[in-house]
Amino acid sequence: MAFGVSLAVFALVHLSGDPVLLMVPTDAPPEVVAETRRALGFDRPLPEQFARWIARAVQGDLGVSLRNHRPVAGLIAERMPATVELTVAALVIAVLVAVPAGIVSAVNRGTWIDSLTMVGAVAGQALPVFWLALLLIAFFGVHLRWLPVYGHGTLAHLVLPAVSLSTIVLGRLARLVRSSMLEVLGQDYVRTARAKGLAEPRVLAIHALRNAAIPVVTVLGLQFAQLLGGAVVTETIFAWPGVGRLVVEAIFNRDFPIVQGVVLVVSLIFVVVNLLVDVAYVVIDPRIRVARA
Amino acid sequence: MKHAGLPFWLAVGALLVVVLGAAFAERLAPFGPGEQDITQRLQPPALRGHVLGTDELGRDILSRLLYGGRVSLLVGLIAVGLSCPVGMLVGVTAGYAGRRVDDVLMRVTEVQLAIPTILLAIAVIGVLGPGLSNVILTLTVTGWTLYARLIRGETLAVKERDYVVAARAAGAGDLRIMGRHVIPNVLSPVIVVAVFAVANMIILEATLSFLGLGVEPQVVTWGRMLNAGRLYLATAWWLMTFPGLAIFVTVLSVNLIGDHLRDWLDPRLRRSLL
Amino acid sequence: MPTRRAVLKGAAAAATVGALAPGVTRAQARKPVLTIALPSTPETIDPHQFRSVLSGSIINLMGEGLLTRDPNTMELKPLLAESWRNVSPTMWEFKLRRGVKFHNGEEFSAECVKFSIDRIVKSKLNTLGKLTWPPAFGQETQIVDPHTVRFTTKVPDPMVPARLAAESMTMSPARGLAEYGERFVTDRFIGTGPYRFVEHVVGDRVVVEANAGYWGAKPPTPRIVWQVIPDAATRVAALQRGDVDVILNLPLPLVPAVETSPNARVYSELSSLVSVVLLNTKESPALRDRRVRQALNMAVDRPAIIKNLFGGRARLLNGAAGPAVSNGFDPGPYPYDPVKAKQLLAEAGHPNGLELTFWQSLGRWTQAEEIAQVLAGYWEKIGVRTKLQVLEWAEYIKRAGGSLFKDAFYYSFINATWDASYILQRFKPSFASFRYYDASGDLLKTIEEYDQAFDPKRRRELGMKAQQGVREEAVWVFLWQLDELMGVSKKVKGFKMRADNFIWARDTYVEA
Repeated sequence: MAFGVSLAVFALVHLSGDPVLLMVPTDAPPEVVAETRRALGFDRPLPEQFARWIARAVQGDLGVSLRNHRPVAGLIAERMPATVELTVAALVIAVLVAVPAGIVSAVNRGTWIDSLTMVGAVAGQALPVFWLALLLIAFFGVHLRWLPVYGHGTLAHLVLPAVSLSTIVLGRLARLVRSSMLEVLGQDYVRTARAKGLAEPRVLAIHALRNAAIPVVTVLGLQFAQLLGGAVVTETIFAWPGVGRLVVEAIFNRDFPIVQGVVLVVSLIFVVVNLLVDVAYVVIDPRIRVARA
Repeated sequence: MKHAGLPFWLAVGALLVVVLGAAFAERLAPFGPGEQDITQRLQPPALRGHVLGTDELGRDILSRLLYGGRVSLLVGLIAVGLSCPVGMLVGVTAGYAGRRVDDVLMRVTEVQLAIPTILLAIAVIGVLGPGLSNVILTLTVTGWTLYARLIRGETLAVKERDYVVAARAAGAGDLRIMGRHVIPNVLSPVIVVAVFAVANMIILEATLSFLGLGVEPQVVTWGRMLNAGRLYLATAWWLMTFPGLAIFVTVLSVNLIGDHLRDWLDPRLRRSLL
Repeated sequence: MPTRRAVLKGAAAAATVGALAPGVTRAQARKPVLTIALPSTPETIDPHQFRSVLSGSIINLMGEGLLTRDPNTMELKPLLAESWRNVSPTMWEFKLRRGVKFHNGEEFSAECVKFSIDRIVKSKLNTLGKLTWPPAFGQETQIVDPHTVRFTTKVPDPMVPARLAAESMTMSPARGLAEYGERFVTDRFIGTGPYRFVEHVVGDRVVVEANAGYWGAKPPTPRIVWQVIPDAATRVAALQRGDVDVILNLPLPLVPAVETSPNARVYSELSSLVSVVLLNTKESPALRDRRVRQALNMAVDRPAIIKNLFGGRARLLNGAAGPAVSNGFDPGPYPYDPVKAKQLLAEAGHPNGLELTFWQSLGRWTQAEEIAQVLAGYWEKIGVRTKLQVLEWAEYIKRAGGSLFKDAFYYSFINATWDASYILQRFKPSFASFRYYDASGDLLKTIEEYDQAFDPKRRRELGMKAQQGVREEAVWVFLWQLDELMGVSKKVKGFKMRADNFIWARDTYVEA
């Protein structure tokens, strides 16, 4: 599957424009342009270029950036941890907020608590991330001076970007938790447990949560990819040294090797995350043998 | 409808205002959306004249809000209107046509799902260039996978239902079965997803604008207004606030309505991946 | 009454303390790190590969050329060369400074000059220097002795010292970078400058620290961090918080935020970038007529735009090269006269106006979109129905340079040799890119003569004539030169932007 992704992106990126003209001075004579093209191998037919790239990629050589001539693998290795850190932090925040919100909503279904919580959760998704980020910077960064507004290093640097990013998935997650819980709470075995006289919190915790967790875990896996994408905007605003910014700049600069390398790595991560999700299924309830739908 | 309380009706009302405003922009807007007068730029909201103020080129914000709403909504609706049938087609075919076709189609879907939407959008616009039609195309291309997976799952379930089996036994052709039996039954979850998708498209358009990949300068959308106002947050808050509010209210309303729609149409749908 | 001995002893002690004290007290009074926030990545730290003024500014701290320009007067000043003379129209001789060492300990000598110039001009690498000193001149570097070089060219070149003062002509060590004659350097920088390379985290920052062995005046700040913060609002927020000391590319709308900040102020200098609208006279029949081009010039109320859109922070540009560069000249503005403009259009055969496609790039220039819309608005008023198209920069520059834009597009030119010729050479049919207008007849002759003239007076005369001619021809829609706006902490001293947009950070320090 990673192969398929790489192929698609390779084709797309190469169709998008000629990087050679970007790399030479704007007034360069045609011989210089042709020479550069030859030196980089761009005059070979596309399939050949792709084959060579794949062959090298398998050995860990993702090529060299067209713009600054550094090895792509090194660039990605340098920047990936920061993005993962941001994405995981955003996911953690989203879960920490959405799960209680969803549970509270489900348990108090139909009341104003339910409505308010859901509206609140959804509200976060009704704003483009960059606007929220701007407001957070203006308020917490400049006005209150509590938190730094750019860069990477301490936990304090992580707060604003992670909070901004978490809003992308928060609403959906909260809604999902709520509906999962509602469904589970209405199930027979829960009623049975209640009838048996088990304490309510226990009912919730053991039976309801566990079953409600399944769709949530599934969605987490999918949302990870969305978060990686949303990180692009967040990384730009907060000058977060991650891979999202790297790849956006690379696309604008027609820096193919970086784009291909990042997409390959990201899709590999995605595959890994999906595997983890499948494992989590089994862990949450060994009885469930879910065919991957 | 279950607990269709105040929030729901507020949402319906708000959406109605937005849609009517967009539909009747010509009649409601006091100025043209492109009427610029740089000597009148950055005027704050006033009781007479420019009720919501003017932007960085002296254009009336209220008028731009109305015309912009039209484009923003249309972009969302058209993108969904295009991506939904495509996704449904892929999904139904995958679910109905058998293992091999299913595998191939699902591979393609997964491949695309593995690429974060924004990256795909940037790459596509990078190829096509910015502009209104390209934005719609991009949103369509990134959006169809949502429906494909959903419909495939539902199709798989419906496929084994009695009426379908009966129809097949009676010798009905595959296309007929798909058209008459499968699709009507999978329509409900699709509608819900589509509703939410419209809201997401509006946000996505704003994000594309932020990255410089939005519509042409002479086309006004809320996303474009929001971005143009970014630098004026401290000095001319009205540039960003009103389009931001418009987006916020619209997306929120659509989401709330979608929620209730889902609850109403089929409680079973909660299992769907939304 | 102190004894003579005591006085002398005291004087000696004072002198010793005095010798130590400036270092001690200065270090106490200054911050050890100067942080400058930039909007975008320096693309490379290869000494000859960089593409932007910004990258050049950073590299300028670590590497030096034979000449430089004074940050205040733009006068040519000796740097690694002590003196130079013009031997013949095709030969220049340079005497090199002695006792200069590279960061790797290598001695600077004529060998290094030859290595560097060959790398810039003759190698297969795409160096910015090939633009500053085109290989068409057929340069040859001759080592006369370890501290004397001679440059010979196939055609007379009066501009050699000006070219060598450009930041793209950095001197590199012949031995230290010997394997990089045809390869890019990505992980180190070896130069002679007052700062040495520490690290370059691509897309995030470049860090340099003071070079203890520098041949010249010791730099006042031990360490400079060039930090990338892409978003302008975040940059300003960082300045307001005091997390950074200087921010570059301050957009006009954010100026009030800096002005009202208690710990920072706005620093502005006139940018050398000449902003114009290029008109494709080769593809558009309408634009081939000079009257149409003149009409486009007269339709725009530039003073109003400068007042309202730029808050007065700009200067009218009436000629191709602007008045600040050597032999630059202001030939007088086209008046704002939409009536006359319409008349001209009618005379040229367009009484009902015409269609025009106008291209702009977003994200590259501040207020780009506003500018495009305003210009379109003015042209619409004289009947030129303008269709606005935007492109992101990568594609934009490709089409611009490749002469692919039909009709009109916005652009801002730098001036790397700080001479009117840098701009005027674009109108010669032999110029390699941006082929939108070919000078001919008298104008072409003037430009060619100017290129070869050595006598300063003659150069000025010809330059004026050429620029006047270009203005008459209304080759472009002449617009303006904007102020370059930056935010500087009030504690920063000695920070300057040179007239050609290069950041002069050598003398900058931050009071603690």
